[in-house]
Amino acid sequence: MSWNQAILEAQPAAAPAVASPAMDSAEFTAFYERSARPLWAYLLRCSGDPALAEDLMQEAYVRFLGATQPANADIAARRYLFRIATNLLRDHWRRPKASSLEDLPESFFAAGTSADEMAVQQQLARAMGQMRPRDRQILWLAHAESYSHHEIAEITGLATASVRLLLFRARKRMRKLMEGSR
Amino acid sequence: MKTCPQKTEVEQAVRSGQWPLGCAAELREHVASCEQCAHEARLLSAFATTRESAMRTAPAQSAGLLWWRAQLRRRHEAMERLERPGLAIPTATIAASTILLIAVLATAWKRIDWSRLIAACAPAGWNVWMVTAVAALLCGFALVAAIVGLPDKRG
Repeated sequence: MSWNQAILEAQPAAAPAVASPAMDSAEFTAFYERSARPLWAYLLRCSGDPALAEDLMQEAYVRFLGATQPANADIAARRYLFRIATNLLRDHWRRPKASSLEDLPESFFAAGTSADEMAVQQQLARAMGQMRPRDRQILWLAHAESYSHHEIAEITGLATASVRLLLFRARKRMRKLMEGSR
Repeated sequence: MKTCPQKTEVEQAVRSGQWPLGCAAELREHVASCEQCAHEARLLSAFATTRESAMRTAPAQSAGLLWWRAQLRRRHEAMERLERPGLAIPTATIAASTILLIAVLATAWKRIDWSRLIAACAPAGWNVWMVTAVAALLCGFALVAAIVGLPDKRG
């Protein structure tokens, strides 16, 4: 029995009419297959907490499905999903006692990779751990997801000019930190 | 610091996965001699490998389960919206009562012998303006109390 069938059978007779979502189940499954792993990588590397990343990922998809999604374009939908995830991360960091990258062992970042990759990742992890959360997000979106300044602005809710400036400063800081850790 | 003209080429090579073995030997030589491009290649490679290794650890979640959760939440929110008392009925009642009161007063105003009414109801020494002021004050209190007592819009 598919999930859709289960929902139809489980719903009470008096349930109110709900507006149908922009994506049907099959479309969503395909979208999920394409976007889940990059989203997971983003949440994991920016939060530094696998359990939190998993929770936020689930919540991001549920909110994505509950919201009015951008018209059809897959790229816009993916950007919108990253935007939801960015807001969830921000909400998490605003709460007291947020976990931080500094609390995690460096080996966590380098699981399942070769020695060279591990060294590079550890260097990056050390540097990322010393960056501000927002800088981490911007750096990741720019360098790991290859988003443009304009797209990052759309995802983070910042102005494009601010993104350009913040990214420039973050890269400068990252360079110093990475060179310092070599 | 001036941006190296080959930085974009380096960026493209790393992003397309051609760096270092799949790209031209000239580019590799350039990167070896250009500090800026070397840093760019190192930084982008670090992000790329970190992303790849993170993606390998992605948890296996069911898209169907997420779909189901989203559907349940939509339904739950729709139920909550239905159960939430609306503002329209109390607001309309207050407005209609106020209009009716004003209409009755306006019609009866000239027919009422105010001096006799005040003498009968109000304390000795009060004139028509004092009684009107007190009545207006009481009406104001009643209106504020009614507005404060309205159900919260957020439920």
